[in-house]
Amino acid sequence: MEFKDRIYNLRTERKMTQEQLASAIHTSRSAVASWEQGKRRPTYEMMEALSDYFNVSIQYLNGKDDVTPALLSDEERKIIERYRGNSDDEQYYLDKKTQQYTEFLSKNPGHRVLFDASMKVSAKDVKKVAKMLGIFGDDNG
Amino acid sequence: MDRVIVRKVSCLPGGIKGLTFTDEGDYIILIRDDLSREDAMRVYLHEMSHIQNYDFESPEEAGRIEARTHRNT
Repeated sequence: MEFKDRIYNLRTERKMTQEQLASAIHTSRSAVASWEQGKRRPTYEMMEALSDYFNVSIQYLNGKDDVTPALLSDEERKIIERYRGNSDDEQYYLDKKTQQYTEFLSKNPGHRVLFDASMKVSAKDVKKVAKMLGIFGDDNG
Repeated sequence: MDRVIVRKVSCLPGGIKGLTFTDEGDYIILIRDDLSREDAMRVYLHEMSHIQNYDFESPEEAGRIEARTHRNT
């Protein structure tokens, strides 16, 4: 599928007019029309805006990924991109708070801790282990 | 002291198969006791690779260390 079809489908699936999409990503209706007609391509910045707005990857917009994004959560899409080696994100843990806790624990001078855990492991579970090892007290957040 | 001590435990929460922590120069590896023999061996190799690669001394972010280790083990 080409970019022009992708953008048309994403817009119409959401029952949006070209005007509404243009306004959402701060561009003109004629720009959206020219993309959908295949006359012009958006700038990279505009591709990023479309990617953020529709919550799909730039690769998907370019027609290189046929997984229907509406069926995937943000987390599932990230897992697939990592599995395929397409992701620039080298961070293993999906949850921000888990990233912070595991980073703190790996550098904790008393006991440095590294895990073999699922990338979806919750911050709560990591914190539970830290308490078990006596690294976080009960009142340390 | 650099000893490596391995223990099977029942107290690790769901998403965590194993872990290693340092304790006064020793490395303590904890592995869930409800894993199959193959999974437990995989966890052990994962944890040993952290030790062999000096990941505990590395300034690299924990999430990046895990991304690399999971690609290689």
